[in-house]
Amino acid sequence: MTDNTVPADRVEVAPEPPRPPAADTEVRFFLWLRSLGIVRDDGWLGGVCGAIAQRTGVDPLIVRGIVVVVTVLGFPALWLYAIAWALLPDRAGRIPLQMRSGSGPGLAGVALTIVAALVTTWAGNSFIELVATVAYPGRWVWSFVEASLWFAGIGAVAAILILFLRRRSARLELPHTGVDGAVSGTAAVSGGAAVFVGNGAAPPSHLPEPVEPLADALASAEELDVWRAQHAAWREQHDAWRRAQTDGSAAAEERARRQAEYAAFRAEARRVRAEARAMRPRTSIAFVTITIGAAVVAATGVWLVFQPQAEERSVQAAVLAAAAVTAVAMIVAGALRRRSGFLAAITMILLLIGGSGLATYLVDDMIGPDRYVPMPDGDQDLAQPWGQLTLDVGGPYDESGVTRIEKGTGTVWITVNPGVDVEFETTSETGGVLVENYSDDGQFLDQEAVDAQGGRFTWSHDDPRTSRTRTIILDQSEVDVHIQTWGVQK
Amino acid sequence: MSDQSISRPGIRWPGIVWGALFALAAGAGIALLAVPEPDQAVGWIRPLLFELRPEWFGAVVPLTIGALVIALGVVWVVQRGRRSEEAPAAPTPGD
Repeated sequence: MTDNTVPADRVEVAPEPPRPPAADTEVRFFLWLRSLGIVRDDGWLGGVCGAIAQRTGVDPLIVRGIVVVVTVLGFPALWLYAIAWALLPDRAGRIPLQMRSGSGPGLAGVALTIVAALVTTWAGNSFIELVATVAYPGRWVWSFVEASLWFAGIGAVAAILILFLRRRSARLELPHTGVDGAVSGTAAVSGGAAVFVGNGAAPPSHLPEPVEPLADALASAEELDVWRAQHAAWREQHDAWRRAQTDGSAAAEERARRQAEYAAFRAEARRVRAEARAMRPRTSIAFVTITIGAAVVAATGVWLVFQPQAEERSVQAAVLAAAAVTAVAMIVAGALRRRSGFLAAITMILLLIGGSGLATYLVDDMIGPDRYVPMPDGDQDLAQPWGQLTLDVGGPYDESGVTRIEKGTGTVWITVNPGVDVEFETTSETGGVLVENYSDDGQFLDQEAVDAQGGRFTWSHDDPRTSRTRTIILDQSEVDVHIQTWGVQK
Repeated sequence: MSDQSISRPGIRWPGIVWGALFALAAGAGIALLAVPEPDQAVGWIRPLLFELRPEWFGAVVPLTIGALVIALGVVWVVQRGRRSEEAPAAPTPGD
């Protein structure tokens, strides 16, 4: 009887068990994703908007509306949608990116979304900008509209984020946070056995381990043999139990438990939503569908009516007609005690498109602030209510002609390249005209302030090497003109 | 007020008001586009645009704040009216 036989046996009590099936191990990243409690469900496409709506408590239609609007405005929402689709679990707990059984349709959807995102990115412009460029010449109104829409979009995203963070603290108890609080997520899902062995703790079993007789002088050889036989039997049983557990029954149990928790979570979320809907019901999809159909019909009708007499403004009128229909639908929805957030979003988008089209039509000949304008081959009329205007005279393509500028406020910069004569005059003598001369090699030579004579400023520049002449007439009540002439020979 | 009217959702006045405003804007736009010479009809806008000065844009801030305060006040008045309607009439002393 030696001391080292027993320890040798005890070491074998907990051999390295077989690895649990791959389906039940999960990297921490996916566990963390699941723990967010964002579950794709109730979706029109991938259910990502529905997931965000459910997680934040915002109406899904509003989330969808915001996503559509920011996508239309050129925000890369499609890329984010594809990523979210690939990473978020659905109601059955399937994450497409894990590529397990049942991930096929999800992955196909993700791939299609990526294709759509590629197409929109390749197109480069936002959809509305594209419409504005194609349908309405002159887009200075659009620059303001676009800026305000961007601010609105960013504000909406920030609002959702804040809402999300605030709800996160008070969220429902979610599945996938571990079997018990102390055990990490990996241990909870991977079935326990491997981790317990790795930690050196006693392996769990349904039977207690036989107590070893005191190995010292008190125990006889027979007693020790009996104990060894008992222990061997126990080990066999224990190994069988552990095999059964890792072979899937425990994993299946775990899966079932997880699914049950998901189902309970979903049911609770559905109940909360139903309650909110009963208190503040929204317009039905049927109502919205009828409204959209009526809007399309009305828009087409107005477009047709405008065709014979005013073809050039028929598109704007058609869009505004659609807006009028959705606006009336908002009134009807309100009277029927229904919320009309989605209709309001559609109406605002239509009003913005139609309104900017109308404004652009009315001020078609005007240019926006801070513009750089090359001179044309011939005459030219410019109207700029405010902002800076930079004229480039004597470029490779412009020929002789007259440029008339109607201007409200703002500075005019005129760059005169070598090889052109310039005649410049204003309609007012208020303000100032400053001329800077530069040599052929870009050296600053001198500057002069032009004096007003006969109620106006006049200045002329003669380049002996050329015969082309650009005449610039500035109609502005108080002028602020800076002229730079290049290639001056002194 | 009966129990039924309390549990039942009320008429959505904000939706109605916004819908009316939007309908008005869209209608005005169509009407303007429908007249024979729209740019002549709003000929007064053009000189106004050329009168604009950049420093006037700063007026947007107090204008917005003022409009918001007015809206808040109106909401407050409406809510107070609704509350006093729902509350039982308080017994007046001396009756």
